[in-house]
Amino acid sequence: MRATVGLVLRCALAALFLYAGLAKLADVRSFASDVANYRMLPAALVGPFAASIPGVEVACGVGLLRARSARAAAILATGLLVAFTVAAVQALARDINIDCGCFGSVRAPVTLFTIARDAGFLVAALASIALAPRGSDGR
Amino acid sequence: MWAALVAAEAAGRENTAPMGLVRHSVILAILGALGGLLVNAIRADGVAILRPFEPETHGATECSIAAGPVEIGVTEAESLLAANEAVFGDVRPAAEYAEGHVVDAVHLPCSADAPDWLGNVAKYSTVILYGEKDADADQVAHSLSAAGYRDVRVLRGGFAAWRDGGGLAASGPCTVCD
Repeated sequence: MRATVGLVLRCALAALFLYAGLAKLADVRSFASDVANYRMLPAALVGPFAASIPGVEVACGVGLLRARSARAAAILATGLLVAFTVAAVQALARDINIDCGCFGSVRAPVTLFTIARDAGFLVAALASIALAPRGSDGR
Repeated sequence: MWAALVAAEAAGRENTAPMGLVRHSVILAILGALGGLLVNAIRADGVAILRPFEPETHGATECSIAAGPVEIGVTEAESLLAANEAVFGDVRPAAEYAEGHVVDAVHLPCSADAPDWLGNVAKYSTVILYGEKDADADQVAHSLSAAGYRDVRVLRGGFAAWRDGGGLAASGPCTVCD
């Protein structure tokens, strides 16, 4: 049962990250604009960040699908989701009216729903860390 | 089949210690980032990474801004409104704004300074201005462009064209204005 739940969670998270990463890769310039609109990074870092994050998301998705790398990928997913949630919270706190930029060309403003959704994904990622296959020594 | 998949999963072994796990995560992130940068480098429409980011605008260029505000037609403006991709500013007198305005439009005083509420609007956003006539919005469009807003446009034909074109409208005073 534990393995089944863990596998289902990991597959769902993997699909989420693969979709998000590939959607951003399809229009990386638009994603760069979305990143800039969050006003968290200096202009010099927006390009490198926007170019690399989709690859990180895809790597995370692929890693979640492999048993041997599942926990490491789940930790990476947790880090990404924490960063995304912080970005959304600061945008809302500063009352910046922007698109989320979460899934490429799918336009959606940053709202409380965005934060709640990210928090849900974060819980799933943390559960995946706990439920992913471990070594036979129990570590 | 599902049972076999779960069994294969349970058989999967990951024999790394906690610090090894973190190191593995970092390596995964670095490999992914390098992959993303590589894909970006080889594609024609990638984003520049060696110079500060310059956002694209939806048709506005520095030349066009210098020559005069970029205009936008009612149909395109309606599609941007529907997609929540533009901020609308009404430069008419407050009484006319209260009688009827573009849905979600904010009343802008016709001054050279960008109003405070625009501080909450990303400078890469599309800002569409309108007045009773096109020329009414030109001055505000210039001031917003000078303030750093990269995609400022003037609604061709003003509010009359919007109303005649069947655009969504509302009435009442501006609730976010000073």
